[in-house]
Amino acid sequence: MRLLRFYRSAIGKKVVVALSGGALYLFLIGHMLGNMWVYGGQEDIDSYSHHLRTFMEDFFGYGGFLWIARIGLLAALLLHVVTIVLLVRQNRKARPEQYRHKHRAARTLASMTMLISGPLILVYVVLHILQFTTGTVQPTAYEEGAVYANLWNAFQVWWIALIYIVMMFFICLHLYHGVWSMFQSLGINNQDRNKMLRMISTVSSIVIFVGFSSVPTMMWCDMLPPPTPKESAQQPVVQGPDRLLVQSEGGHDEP
Amino acid sequence: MNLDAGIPEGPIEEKWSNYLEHVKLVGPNNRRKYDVIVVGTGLAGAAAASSLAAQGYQVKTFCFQDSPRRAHSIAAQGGINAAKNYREDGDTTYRLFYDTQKGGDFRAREANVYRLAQLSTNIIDQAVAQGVPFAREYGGMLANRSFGGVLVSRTFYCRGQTGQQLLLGAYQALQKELNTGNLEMHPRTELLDIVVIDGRARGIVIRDLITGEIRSHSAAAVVLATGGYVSTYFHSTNAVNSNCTAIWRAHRRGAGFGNPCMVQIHPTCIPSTADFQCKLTLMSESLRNDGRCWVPRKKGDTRHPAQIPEEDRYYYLEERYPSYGNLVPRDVASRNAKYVCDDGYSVLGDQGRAVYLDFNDAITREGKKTIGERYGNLFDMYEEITDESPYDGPMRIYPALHYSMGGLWVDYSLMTNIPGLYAIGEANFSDHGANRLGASSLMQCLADGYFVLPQTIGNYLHDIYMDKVGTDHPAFKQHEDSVRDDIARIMSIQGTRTPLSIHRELGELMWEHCGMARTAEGLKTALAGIEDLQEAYHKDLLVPGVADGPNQVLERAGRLADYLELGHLMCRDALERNESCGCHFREEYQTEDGEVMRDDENFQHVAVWEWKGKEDAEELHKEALEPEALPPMTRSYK
Amino acid sequence: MKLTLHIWRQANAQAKGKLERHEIDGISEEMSFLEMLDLLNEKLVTEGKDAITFDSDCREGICGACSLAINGRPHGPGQGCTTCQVRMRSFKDGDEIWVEPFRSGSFPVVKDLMVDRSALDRIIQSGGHINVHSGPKPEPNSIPVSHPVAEEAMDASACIGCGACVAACPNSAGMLFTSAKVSHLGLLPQGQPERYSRVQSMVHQMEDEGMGGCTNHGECQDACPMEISLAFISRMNRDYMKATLIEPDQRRGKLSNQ
Repeated sequence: MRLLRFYRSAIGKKVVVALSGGALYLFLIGHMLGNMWVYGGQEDIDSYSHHLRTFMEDFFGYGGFLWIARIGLLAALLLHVVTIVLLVRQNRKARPEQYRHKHRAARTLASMTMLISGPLILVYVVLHILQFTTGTVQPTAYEEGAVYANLWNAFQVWWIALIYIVMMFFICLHLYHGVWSMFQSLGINNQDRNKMLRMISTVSSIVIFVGFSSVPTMMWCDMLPPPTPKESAQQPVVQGPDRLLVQSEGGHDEP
Repeated sequence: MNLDAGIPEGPIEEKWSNYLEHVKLVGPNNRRKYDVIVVGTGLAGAAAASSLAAQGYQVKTFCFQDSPRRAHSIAAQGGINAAKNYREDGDTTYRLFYDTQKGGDFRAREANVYRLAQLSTNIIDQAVAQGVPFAREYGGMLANRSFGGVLVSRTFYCRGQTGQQLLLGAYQALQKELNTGNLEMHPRTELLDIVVIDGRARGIVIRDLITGEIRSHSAAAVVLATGGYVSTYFHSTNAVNSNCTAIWRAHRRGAGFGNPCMVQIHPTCIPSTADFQCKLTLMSESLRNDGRCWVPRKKGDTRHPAQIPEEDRYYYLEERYPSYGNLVPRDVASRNAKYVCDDGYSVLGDQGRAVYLDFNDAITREGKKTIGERYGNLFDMYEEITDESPYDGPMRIYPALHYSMGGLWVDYSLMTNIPGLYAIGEANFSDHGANRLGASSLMQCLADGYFVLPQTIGNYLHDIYMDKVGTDHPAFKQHEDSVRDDIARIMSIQGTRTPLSIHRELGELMWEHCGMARTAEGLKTALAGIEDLQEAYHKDLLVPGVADGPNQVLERAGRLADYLELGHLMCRDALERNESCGCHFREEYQTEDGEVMRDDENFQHVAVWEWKGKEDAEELHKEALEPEALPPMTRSYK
Repeated sequence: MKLTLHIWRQANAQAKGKLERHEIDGISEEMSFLEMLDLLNEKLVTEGKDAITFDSDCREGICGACSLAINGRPHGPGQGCTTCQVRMRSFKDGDEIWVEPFRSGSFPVVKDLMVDRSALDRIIQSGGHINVHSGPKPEPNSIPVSHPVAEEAMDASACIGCGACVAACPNSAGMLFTSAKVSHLGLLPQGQPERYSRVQSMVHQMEDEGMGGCTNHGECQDACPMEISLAFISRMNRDYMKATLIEPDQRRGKLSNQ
């Protein structure tokens, strides 16, 4: 099998890491753009969340599109993590005897901490889903579907806001190296494009950081209005599998 | 000693094709029955080994480096000549032959030189097919540049790394043959003896430089491609490990050594400054187009060069050679730098010997930018080494040894006078006479390796496979033992002199008396000095460490024994050649204006020396050179 | 100048190595780093001690024999130069300097600072060549090569095979070395017939040598004495993808079955 032979080589694995990372990267951009509905007000963000569930409803059924996306993202994440574990094992074996005097020339903070930022992000994503998607962990008041209110409640607590902002920094760091690496591994980089690709990875990781962390920051600083209570009847009651889902990483129906 | 060169009949342009028409061959299915040993895997060696393996011979290669790609051919910068006439500027095979022969002061064998010129064009085709990235013009055609004093543009180049790229081409071809099973590679081994049985070369004895093991390998033919011997002078532009051991041990087993005194000195090198400098770096000769050579008029003038006024500067080349000025030929420029330093005008004072090469006038005249574009990379290289910028003050330069035209005597088929022993590339004496033209050494190595040897070796091999001799023959054991004894003896002296210190002293003697300008008296002093050093070597040498493992001091000590003997022979040869020709300049034989004065009547020959044992002096034989196509003329620069 | 050196001494590949401390005095700024080691060796030899073994040959930065790391950096301080081109003026009086061999699982130590880099030769052997043998060849100008392509091929081909990229890489990957040869031959028209088989066999050989994979730090490019670009790695990735996933690898006898 050519695909297997491809995956067996380090370059093949890197390509898989790049493609799966790329999928997660695109999702992050979408997620961040979705979050921007917060600035439209409570109404906007809540209906955006609803819209995600009814998107292409005729075709996939209620919430169906979301499930497809979730499964896709979960698969990407699994591929990303498993492949990296395999690569790290190979890389560790390649130098049994370390330099006694350590030296660093071209490595950046971002590139050196990929194996720290990565697992941290993984843990964070799980917690994030438990908090806002499933509501399993409820440090603050939680109501299904009331996106704005849930966010506002959570980010009134200083340490929750802080954790989110710090984690966004790690994601930004991960992307700073990861996005350029993706272009490099996929063979898109060359002498002429290198500057532009570096720019794309720097700018997009900063934009993602600013975009995501602006919400907790502004809510914590009371720069956004508190939510107005509303009738829950407006929201259809969600039943079934959504509640049972515990660890789906793709379950970002709320920002 | 049989010195029949076996030059084919016919007019000069038909000799090679005549040879090929009559050469005896080995059939493709029989070739696997022949082992061929190739020692040295630089340009010539790698080219020959890969070509022979591709033909189907069983080839074994040996080199002291960890990989064939590190051979010193890699350091050649400028380019490679070929009479392609791409520029329509009148280049022909004959003109390349003419330039090479005249550059060599008519001391090379005509038939060999003409063949070299004929094959030069094939080399470019071959290298391009191998993927050598020669410089290209914008239209995609091969680019040329002009080089060293010829009237046509025939030099092909890959930036300043032509030697590297050509070597990589040959090295890759060699690695490729490993996959066919026809080639066996032995890196990190050093040849220590040649096994000659019943007058034929039958194998070699080597030392494994990692384990220290002494081993023999037998073969139907042995090819030496081990380069030149200017490391004898200690300071040279050669690599620190380049050595003469292989050709010298072959010489001791009976191979004639041709023209040992013919070595070339390059005028513009960075002088030695630190005491422990082991190596001189060459700066392109083209610098003299815009640089002016001078020294202060007052001895020991310690002022900064910029503060020395014009009237206190001695532009010695411009004053002595008003018409040619700074553009006199290599040998003249070198010799004059030596003279002014001998007179005590060295700009390094007591610290060493050097003259200024000043670009100030050129920079004022044409601007820093123009000069920078022309010589930028050389200026950077100079600054990297000396920490001084040639834009701000003059360069300090001094001549240095860099090539040996002499080497093992070979006939037209590149075989030495020992049947079955071949010498190719810089290791033989054949193509450059008394002086080599720029961009010709790469050409010779590749012509020998790709095109000459693979076609001539069959002539020797075709009838000898029937009587195979293996390493079980007692002669191998005997040779191995003598090598082991030699090493044991070196290790057991345990005196006080390190090999490095003796080598440095030898180098000083050679440079002083057998360098740019030689006199009978000086050469005699050198001979006596070398004999003293030989005694110091045999009585007072210090080699620590072990013989059965890596020991670089031991390696150096072994090579030093050969430098001492070869240095002695070089001085004798220089003393014997009572004329000046090319790079061999005897002060007694010069014209009134200090030019070389050849003596064609008495010295139109190759001096071939025969080893007569440790106790007896070497015997001189002569191969008369009979120029037909190009009668000798005066080499004039006026 | 007076220096304290910590030099790696190791008797052979199996032995355990250790750092050995040496004080050295009387170093001048013009000396190259290797001449400084020569001086130290000369001192050791006079004392009857075993000299430090290290590889070096041309001493002008082109043969690629230098195989030591100074203060953890292959070829030491300075951009675009080899160990033999490092001058002692890069150090200050009283400095402590750590000298270690190139470290990689695929470069076993032979002795002291000398390592076995035959892995690189085997990578070239696996495919880093064009299958032609000596003999008459087509006229080179019959296949034009555009100037920029020739220049880019030359950029890649400038590799001196020292292995600093492998030694500098945190994963000890051979990607820069391999990609330089893959790109050199893959760019030129003469290298096209074997372009895709070449990249596969070279990459597989590289992995069989136990080298790691690329994590895009750029340490290799930084340590490379010839300043070969990371972009060649990207190019190799592209060629490898195409070779394994798109290009047919077995043509013979396949067409009739379609």
